[in-house]
Amino acid sequence: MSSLALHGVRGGAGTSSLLAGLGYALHQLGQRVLLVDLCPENLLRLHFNLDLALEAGWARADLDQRPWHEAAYRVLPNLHLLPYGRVSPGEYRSLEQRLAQAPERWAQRRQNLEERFDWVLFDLPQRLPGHVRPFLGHDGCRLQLRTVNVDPACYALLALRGDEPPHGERLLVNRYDPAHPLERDLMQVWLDRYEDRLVPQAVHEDTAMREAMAHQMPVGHHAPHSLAAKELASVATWCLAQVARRGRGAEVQA
Amino acid sequence: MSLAYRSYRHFRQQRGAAPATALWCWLLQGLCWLLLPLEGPAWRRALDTPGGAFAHLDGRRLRFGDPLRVAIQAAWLLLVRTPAERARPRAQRLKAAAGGRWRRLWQRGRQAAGAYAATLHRLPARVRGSAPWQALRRRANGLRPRSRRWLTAALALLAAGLALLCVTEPFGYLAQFVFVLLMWVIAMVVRRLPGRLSTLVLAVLSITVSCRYLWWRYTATLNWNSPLDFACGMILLAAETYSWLVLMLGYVQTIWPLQRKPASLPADLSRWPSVDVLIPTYNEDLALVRHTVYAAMGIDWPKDKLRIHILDDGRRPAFREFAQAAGVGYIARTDNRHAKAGNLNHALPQLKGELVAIFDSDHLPARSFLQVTVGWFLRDRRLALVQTPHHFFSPDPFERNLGIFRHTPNEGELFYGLVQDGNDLWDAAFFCGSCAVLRRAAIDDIGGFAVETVTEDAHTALRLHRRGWHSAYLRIPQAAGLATGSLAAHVSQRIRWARGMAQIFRIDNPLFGKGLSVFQRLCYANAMLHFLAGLPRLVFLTAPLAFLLLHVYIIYAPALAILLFVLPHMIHASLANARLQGVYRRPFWGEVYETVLAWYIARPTTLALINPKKGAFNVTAKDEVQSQDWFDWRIAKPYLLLAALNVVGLGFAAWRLAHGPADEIGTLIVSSLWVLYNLLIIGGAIAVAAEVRQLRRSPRVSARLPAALRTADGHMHACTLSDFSDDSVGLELAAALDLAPGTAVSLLLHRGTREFVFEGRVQRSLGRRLGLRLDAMDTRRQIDFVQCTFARADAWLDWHDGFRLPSLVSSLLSVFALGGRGYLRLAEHPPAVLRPPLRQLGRLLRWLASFLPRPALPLRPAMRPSAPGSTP
Repeated sequence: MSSLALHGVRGGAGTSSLLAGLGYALHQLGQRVLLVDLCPENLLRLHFNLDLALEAGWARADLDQRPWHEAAYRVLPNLHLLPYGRVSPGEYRSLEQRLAQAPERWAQRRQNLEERFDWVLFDLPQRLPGHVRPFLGHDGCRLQLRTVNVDPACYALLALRGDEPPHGERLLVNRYDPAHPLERDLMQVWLDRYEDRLVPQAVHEDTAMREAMAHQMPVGHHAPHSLAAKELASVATWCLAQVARRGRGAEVQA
Repeated sequence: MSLAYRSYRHFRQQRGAAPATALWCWLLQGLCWLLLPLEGPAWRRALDTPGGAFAHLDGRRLRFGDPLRVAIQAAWLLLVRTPAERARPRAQRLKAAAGGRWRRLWQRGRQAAGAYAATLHRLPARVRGSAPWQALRRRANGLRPRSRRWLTAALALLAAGLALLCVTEPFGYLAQFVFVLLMWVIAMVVRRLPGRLSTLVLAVLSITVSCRYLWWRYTATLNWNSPLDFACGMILLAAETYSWLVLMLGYVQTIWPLQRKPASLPADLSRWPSVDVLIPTYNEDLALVRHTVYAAMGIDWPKDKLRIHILDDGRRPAFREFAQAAGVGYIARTDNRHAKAGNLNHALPQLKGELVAIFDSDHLPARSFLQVTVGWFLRDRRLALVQTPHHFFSPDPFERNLGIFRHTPNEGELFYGLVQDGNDLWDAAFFCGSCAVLRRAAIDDIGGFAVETVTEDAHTALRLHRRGWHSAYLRIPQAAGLATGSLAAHVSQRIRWARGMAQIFRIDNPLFGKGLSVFQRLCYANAMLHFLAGLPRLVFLTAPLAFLLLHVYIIYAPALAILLFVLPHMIHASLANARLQGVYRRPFWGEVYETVLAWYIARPTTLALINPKKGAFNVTAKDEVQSQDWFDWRIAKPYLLLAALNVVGLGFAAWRLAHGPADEIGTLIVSSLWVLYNLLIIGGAIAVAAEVRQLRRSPRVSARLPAALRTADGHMHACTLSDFSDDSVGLELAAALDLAPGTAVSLLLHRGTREFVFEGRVQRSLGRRLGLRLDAMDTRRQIDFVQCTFARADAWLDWHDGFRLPSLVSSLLSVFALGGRGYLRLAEHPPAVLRPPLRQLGRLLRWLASFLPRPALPLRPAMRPSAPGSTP
């Protein structure tokens, strides 16, 4: 029914862990969820107890000319995962070229998937425009979130993008630590400047998030009482509300 | 205890008996074996049950008297069958059947009552929607204004005539009975109807019945032939007239609370007026004032239009330094003339703002205070004052000593919840000294704050009203403070108010002079009369004694007539007031509040009425600490005297009942009931005097705020802030955390979208509950903490959620229970002289009671399996 793309403003902003936690939180709210890893690093699966040596994934299948959907795993009833697969740098570059030439391929797949799940979540990579394009922009996912950390690098990257955000993009703050005066100040600036674009719930810096990956679980499963898990649960609720509101808006327009 | 030989050593070592006890038990044991058929079935049954029959003797040291206890218990078990052994099935069957029938009846009755209540609840809406009513309304609306005025006048005349008839017509017993029964039935039906009309009807019924009562008292119950009877009767009648007057004025004051809403401010910030926030202080702790200043600094208002000033009458260097460090104004003067009013007047010429907000040094304003209150000043150019409630986050002595904090409305609730709101309808809401905003021009117009009395606030408001300025009251708690710390402090505060009000009554009587509307006069008069309640209350507490002790007929009428007039008067007043006062005052609790103060305010008010110049301003102590439970004998003394008098009165009643003439029995019973009622109310007053300990200097405020806790390992735990004080917090975690006391942690709190981190240490940890003490904070941190907690805009809004609307009867019973508790408390805190003998008496009684037999623990019925093959 709905799709969500999560994309770091820069690499290393904690996007994969966030996506794993958010997918789990949506699943906890009774949604049928599929998580799709589009990053060649192929790390999302590590949040769901898949073997490190495992090779299968949609990219691997595409390269080997096998059906891509057979690479999906059922993690829990109604919670599914589609890893990227183990791919060498040369291979993912050629795959990137192919995807850039045929952007309709993933657009088609996305539509097919959306019919089978309540939520399909995409973990988008850096610097691979062919991987990313089908999910962003006007014909992209229903919700498009950018992960930001409250640090000068993200501040600069956001400032460079100018005041006009790309289509419907929202900013999800991750690893916020208000104990640091610098982070508090940056946050205050963002709250003033990007008031409408920020997801109203920021996710705080919490060691439970890192530990979750070490335990090969999403954070909501590893530490359900941690602040990060609670905050992801409220982001999930916000996502549901957002889609419901837009749905109503569309009906009104129709 | 089972049948077996016990050696001397067994008694010594296993049961810890003293040598003599062990020897004597061992000898007795031998004697028993010689003389008693212990192997018989009855003895076996009694002795073989482990821990059953002698449970109260097992498991403790064997004492010298124990053989006697065993003997008594054994004899009792042999002679008295325990309930468990009686033929149970039949009794059970009967009971169950009867219970079923009663339960069904009860359920049916409840259903019927529910349906009846629902019907009445819907009735007004149905009538309003019905065709005849609509037609009538159209007719009435179609009338010309002139004919409508005539119609109203005619109806009023008719009603007045009827009322006159109801009040003055003398009735026989039967007629009076039918009359009050009718009134009562009407009231019982009407009180179930929603809406203001039924409130008005209840008030009208109460007014009618009470007027009739007073008329009857004046015309038919005075004994003109005996001077003593007449004098005592007149005293009581004067007290009753006072109560009647206060009741009537109370109806005027509270019948239609205005429930004013905040007015919005213009979007253009330049039109917002500039405000000076004044914090007068005299001898309060800097720690207390500091928080008030921090909270005031957080008020949401344009920074260039908000000035904060500490008005220090104590001229303390520490305050000057603090003001400088915090960046707020500091104003001190060389003398202390006219106390608080003088302090404020001294500061006024140095201020430039259009508005003046005043907070006592212990009242922390919420950040939204000005945004909520100032709107009305822009809307009404003649508005001089906006007052908000005084809200207290610590229990006052009543709440603390009676254990009713946050589930029963406190003493001030009635005034700030209802009376001021009712005053507001008549443009008579008055200034209460703190948590208020005033227009500077208005204060200048009356020449500054009034200095002639010790309650400068009410007098200032009176002057403002006399000069034609308006006032407003907003019933939204926008500031909170500390309640008085002890009963003595509370009483002395009330004495000051009472004296001040009596002074105003003398020097600037609101009933006379110019500039006030009739209703403003009545509202002010009632506010002042309210504080004269001391003497009348004392009269009521002693009145029945006049008959019992001195044989004086204070109400010269037969007992039946008294009942037929007094009871309806009291019942209707209670019904109407319960309806009007709703959640703001538990019915009958006002009696206790008033009784506690009665003795203490009686003298100062009387003196102030005679000589209004006397009496100085005393500052109320707020942050007192009660280090242990104790009984305030000094405060309670007059009530103990009154209680003793009433007990003597009861003794006299018993004597007169036995030896007096038979025709006095009715009067005796009525007087005795009155005495009993008085005793219970006095007991309530005594209960308040038993001070419960309060160790914390900074009280804890309970709350429900989202927060987060970070431990040293970098984990963040979502939690709820369940209470806070100025340097510590209580948290409720989602799951238990194993944190040793002393562990360093950080606390994350929100204020709007902003977040703040505070460092602290674990103080105690109990399951999911965690107590933190925050580390010493610098000024910035302290401001942040106050603004995250005390000064939140919504901090005090849900305060009344714990209040329930009690029924009249349950409320009356709770007051009686309170009275009983007062005497129990008294027994727990006997005076020092009586303590040793009382303790000895207690020990003696306990020792005697230890010989009493006990019912065996019901082990056997529970363990006995049902016989195989038996049919139920």
